[in-house]
Amino acid sequence: MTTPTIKLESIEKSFGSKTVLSGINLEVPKGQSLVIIGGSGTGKSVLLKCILNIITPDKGRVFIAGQDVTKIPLHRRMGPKFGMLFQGGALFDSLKVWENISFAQLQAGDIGREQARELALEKLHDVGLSAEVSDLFPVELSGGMQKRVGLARAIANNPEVIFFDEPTSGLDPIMSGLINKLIRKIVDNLGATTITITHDMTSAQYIGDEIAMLHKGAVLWKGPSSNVKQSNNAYVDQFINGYADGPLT
Amino acid sequence: MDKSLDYILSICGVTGQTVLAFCGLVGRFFTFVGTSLIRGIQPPYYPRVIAEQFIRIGFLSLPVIGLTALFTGAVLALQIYIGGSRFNAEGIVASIVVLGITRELGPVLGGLMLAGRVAAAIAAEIGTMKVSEQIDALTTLSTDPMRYLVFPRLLAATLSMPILVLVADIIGVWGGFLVGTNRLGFDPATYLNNTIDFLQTEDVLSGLAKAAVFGFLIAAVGCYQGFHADRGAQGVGKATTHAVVLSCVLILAANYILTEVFFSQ
Repeated sequence: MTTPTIKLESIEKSFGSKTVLSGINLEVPKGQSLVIIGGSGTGKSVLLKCILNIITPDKGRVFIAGQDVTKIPLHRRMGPKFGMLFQGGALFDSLKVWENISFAQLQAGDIGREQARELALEKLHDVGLSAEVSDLFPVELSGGMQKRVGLARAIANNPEVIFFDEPTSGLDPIMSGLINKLIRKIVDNLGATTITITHDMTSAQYIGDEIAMLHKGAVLWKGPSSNVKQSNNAYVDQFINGYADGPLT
Repeated sequence: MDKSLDYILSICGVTGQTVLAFCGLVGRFFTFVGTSLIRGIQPPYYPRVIAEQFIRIGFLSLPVIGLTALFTGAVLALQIYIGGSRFNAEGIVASIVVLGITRELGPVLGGLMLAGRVAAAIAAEIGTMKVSEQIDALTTLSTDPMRYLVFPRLLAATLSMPILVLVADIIGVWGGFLVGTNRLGFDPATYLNNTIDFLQTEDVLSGLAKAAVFGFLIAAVGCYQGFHADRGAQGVGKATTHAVVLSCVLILAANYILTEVFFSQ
């Protein structure tokens, strides 16, 4: 059996007296796409931040490609390259679109400004945006365009591991469909291992190979995305169908 | 008896909690500043970001610092003339203006103006970056926020402030000179002679040293408050207010300590 790219072992995290994660165990094999669903405040974003060491878990371990990286900051990690698409895009206001996209490469001094611009144009093309966008500032873009620029930045270093935090939130159905399609295409082309957090069930089924549902800081159900409608789990059924009554309320 | 004992205990409890909270804040602040300095002196360096901060904190603060110094020097000359005339000592205007500006008013008023302009801007910018996940994004792009955001601001404010105060000293003395010669009827040559004769190198240097400390405090407080901003517009607003108030209070406290150190003999 091959080593999973991402493995979480008994992750626990509390803020004061509030327990957010209570023993999360998850594995994502190489090249697979895992989607994490769950209600607001169930610890999905905290879990993602624990994997990225933006938040340090109280207990448990995070393994990336077999290496324990629980307490290693991202900028010191060896091994697979990471990319992350944030919920609000998290583009740097003071930088132009092309500088945002090739930010990591520019700061690392890997490439000059001309090459960085070319890289940005290439990635903009990959996410379906024209070259004219490259000289705009993030505030001049619509929400959907900001998401696509965020996606271009996430894939700028051809990452082996990508995280998507609510990639379709705040977008209209057509733009959501476009983002889902782009994510699936990019993930397939790069062969990347991905974890996506979403409330959007259309997005979850389109992007994910597997779906895991979080409830009260624990994994309530996990299985192939094609089986989510036949989960035989009252919590999952209520969540994916959006019923007002059920065990989650 | 029991009631009064409870009352005393509750006062002790509140006092203890306040002292502990204060010690915690001081500890977190020094850890934050220390971490950014230790990481900042190690590569990678960000010369472009540092240069940008020199322009934003230093160069763009010149107008406000210059105007403050000009009016302060002018008012100081008028006040000393009025006060001095009560005991026939109008002639001390030039020397008191230059000593007052270089030793105290240049660095302190410059520091307070910079606190209003720069500490607020730093706290608001970093606070907004925090609540919109831009700081998390920096981390995921293998860029250490301490090196990229905090250290360039600390460096730029610490090195810019003495230069700004030197300019303020010159403009402040010039303000006093304008009022002294045009309004109060002093002879320009005599005024300049009195200014230069009474001024010693340590007067200027002590002011510049104070300015460097004030610059450091302004940037450190601004960055700390921004990094610890609560969520939402209200959180960023609070962080900005705290940054201005705290940096002003620290400047005044540090001014007293530094004055004691420099001139205690």
